Amino acid sequence: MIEVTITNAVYVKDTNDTIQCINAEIDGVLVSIPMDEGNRHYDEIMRQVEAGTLTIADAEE
Amino acid sequence: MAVTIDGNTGIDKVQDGSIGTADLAADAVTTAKVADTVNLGRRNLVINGRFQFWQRGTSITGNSSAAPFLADRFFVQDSSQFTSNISRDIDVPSGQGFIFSQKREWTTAHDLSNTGSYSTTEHKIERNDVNHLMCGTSDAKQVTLSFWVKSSVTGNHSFTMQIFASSRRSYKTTYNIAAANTWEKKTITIQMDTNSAGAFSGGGKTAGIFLRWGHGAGSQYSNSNTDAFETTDTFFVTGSAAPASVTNATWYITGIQLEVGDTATPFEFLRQGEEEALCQRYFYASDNGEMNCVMGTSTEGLGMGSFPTKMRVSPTVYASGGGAITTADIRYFNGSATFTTFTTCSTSRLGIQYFSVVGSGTQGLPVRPFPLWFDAEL
Repeated sequence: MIEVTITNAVYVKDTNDTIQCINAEIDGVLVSIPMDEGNRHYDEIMRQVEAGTLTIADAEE
Repeated sequence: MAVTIDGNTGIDKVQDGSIGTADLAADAVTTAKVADTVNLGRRNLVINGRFQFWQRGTSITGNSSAAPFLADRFFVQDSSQFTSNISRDIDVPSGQGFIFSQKREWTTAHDLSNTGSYSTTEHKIERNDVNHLMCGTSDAKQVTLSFWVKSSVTGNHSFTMQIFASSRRSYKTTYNIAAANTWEKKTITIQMDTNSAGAFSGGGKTAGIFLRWGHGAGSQYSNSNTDAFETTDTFFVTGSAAPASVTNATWYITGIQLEVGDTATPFEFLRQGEEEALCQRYFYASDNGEMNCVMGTSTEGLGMGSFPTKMRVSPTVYASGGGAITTADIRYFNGSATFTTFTTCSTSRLGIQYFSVVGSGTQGLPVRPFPLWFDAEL
């Protein structure tokens, strides 16, 4: 249960080419999600990636 | 050592159960005589059990969403089949010292024929705070839940304790509301799971225990098994009272306490600052200028302010109200905004780490984010 809809996930890099976080729409709201295990949005993204139902796009160069 | 009781001497031992409350003179037991093994403080495993903190607002009208939070640390679920209003209320049990309760009101009756329907009030407890319950071992503790409740719907209502084990372990039971629209105190004692299947999974900062008050659910989340842990994700006892399926039904709750042992002790009132800090480990709604930043380049900023409490994990950031951040949320102190697009905002457990925008900023200028929501809920 407690399902959230996640779309348009993309890694975000800073100007030092370091990945900072993931941008994604959660239930239609664009938010930045820290890559911190335990953050429930990040955990759900990883669960969906593992399940093959979500892909995280590479960061723009 | 022999003692003297009512003139009888030579008594070596007082038998178990032989001294009742009526046998003790008033003030015979004083603080100084209470052993340090008696658990006097920090008993309550529930945060914001008296509904003192509502950082996100104090009402939702027409909820039909999977997991919205309203009162701190509590979320209120209604699948799309149900519609409810949730609000902070000043209707509380008299003489208990509470100021607020949470009110649920279902404005439209829905039947439970949809298998996946559900309506619940829920509270998750972090595993770090319940490891001492030793779930999944033969040493698993007893816990006692107490709360005040009032509903327009009488009868046996559902409550479920769940353990976040490798597969969800659920203990469903019922509590009886005898009189409509009358505050009643309920107490439920549960022997935590001694089956190894009930061992916590996941890290310490993840969810450990789930308290779920069921207001109605379809067959997917219901069965008739009660008073024992089982490996299911069910939280509604088949046939129990379902206020979510009664037009204009109401359900209030406050004074929630979960503690180790088989006895419900008086509600533990933490100081305002303590409880607020406990809430802010999971959610923080900043006010104007509390989380200041500085432009490191023309398009990238770095955080300067810290959260008032180190958060459970790095939080997800929303604009105040739960929407997406826009350039209107991040401006220079003088109010000018030269950014065209807000791109991203990353955080640590202590504050904003980094944000980026599209536009022409000025390196070194301080930036004042408008109120933001930082969400590290379980």
